[in-house]
Amino acid sequence: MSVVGPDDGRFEGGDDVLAGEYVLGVLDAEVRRAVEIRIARDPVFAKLVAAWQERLEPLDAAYEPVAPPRALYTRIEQRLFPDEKRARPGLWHSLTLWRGLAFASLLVTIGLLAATVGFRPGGGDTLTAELTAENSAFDLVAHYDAASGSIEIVPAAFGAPERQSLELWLIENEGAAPLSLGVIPPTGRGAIVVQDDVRALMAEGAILALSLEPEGGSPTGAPTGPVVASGAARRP
Amino acid sequence: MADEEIDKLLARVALKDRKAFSALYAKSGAKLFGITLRILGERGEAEEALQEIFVKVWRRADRFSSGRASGLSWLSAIARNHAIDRIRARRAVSVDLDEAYHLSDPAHDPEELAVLGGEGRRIAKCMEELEPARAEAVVKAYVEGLSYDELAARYDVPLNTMRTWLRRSLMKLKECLER
Repeated sequence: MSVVGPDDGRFEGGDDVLAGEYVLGVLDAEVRRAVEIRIARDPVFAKLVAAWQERLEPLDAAYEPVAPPRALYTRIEQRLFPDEKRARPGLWHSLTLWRGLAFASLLVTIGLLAATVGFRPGGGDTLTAELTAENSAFDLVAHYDAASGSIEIVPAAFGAPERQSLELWLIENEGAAPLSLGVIPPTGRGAIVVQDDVRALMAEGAILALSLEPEGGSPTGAPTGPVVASGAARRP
Repeated sequence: MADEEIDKLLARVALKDRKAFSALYAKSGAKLFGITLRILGERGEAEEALQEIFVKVWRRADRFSSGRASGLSWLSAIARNHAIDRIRARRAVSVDLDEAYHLSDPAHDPEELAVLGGEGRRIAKCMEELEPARAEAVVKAYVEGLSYDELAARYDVPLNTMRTWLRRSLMKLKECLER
């Protein structure tokens, strides 16, 4: 067992050597934990680790790829999305938005959010999504109306930090750049009309995502801030 | 190159795009499985580790910034770290068994560095400046995830000698790579 102390020569080379040993992988479990805590708390030390990572990474070439069993991906999905149901009758004909997804925690300026979203089919051609986030400033309901192609936003609680906007994005498919659907009005109430040519892109696999952007929306045309909520469109 | 594709997929996974996640698995799963299998040495455990790694990737993709390392390097680092953590935890309970298992491996594997190309040629060149046994210990430590204890046993040197070897080797490598 290795011991962190002056006797073992740890201080010859100091932090830089420790960072190198961590990346090399030779440390025991206890010291690895201590080093990981240090990486999280000490940016200067984290840079030393990143530099060693970069130096030693060419050695990754020694790993021969081995095809994992086919069923493994299904098991990963089951771990990540355990409550997912395969079909839901009575939904609007071509797609369901914001399928019952559990969102991962997302770091937003105001703190760590654990966001979840649930939805239920409304009357006729509408779809309702409730976006809630524990301990967060965001709590809103979105109605998607198929006839008008608009997404109406109703705030339950809406306290976006000043000078910031929430922007809704559509990601058509793999490899496609996020396409802005518009900025949610600063009051949190209002509608985003999905343009005719964009409606055609709302097909299975498309992603809707809500990101936190500078006031008025992303200056670059691509998401720049943290994603507050997102979900994949799937056929029922 | 496929690497850039992985960067793009990671950016989409950060937005919780499941289609991109599935494509990322298709592109990188075999490489990451190669890593877990090599370090853990046992198929069932390597499969379990691979699942945990992809769960982490789904949750942490937003921490990847394409500016620094390539997406594949980032994924490989997650896989290596996870596999090493697993094997350290396992060996804490069954050191004897595992050492016996590892000692039965061929101790010498000079082919390891031969696969290096591109950026890897630089590190291969710098490895040549080290004593062969020490260079080999560095590569084995990295690729197989061996601990100081295991390396000391395998090379039949005292633990502190192995520490000194590897620490000095690391600093020499760094000095050479920065030349």
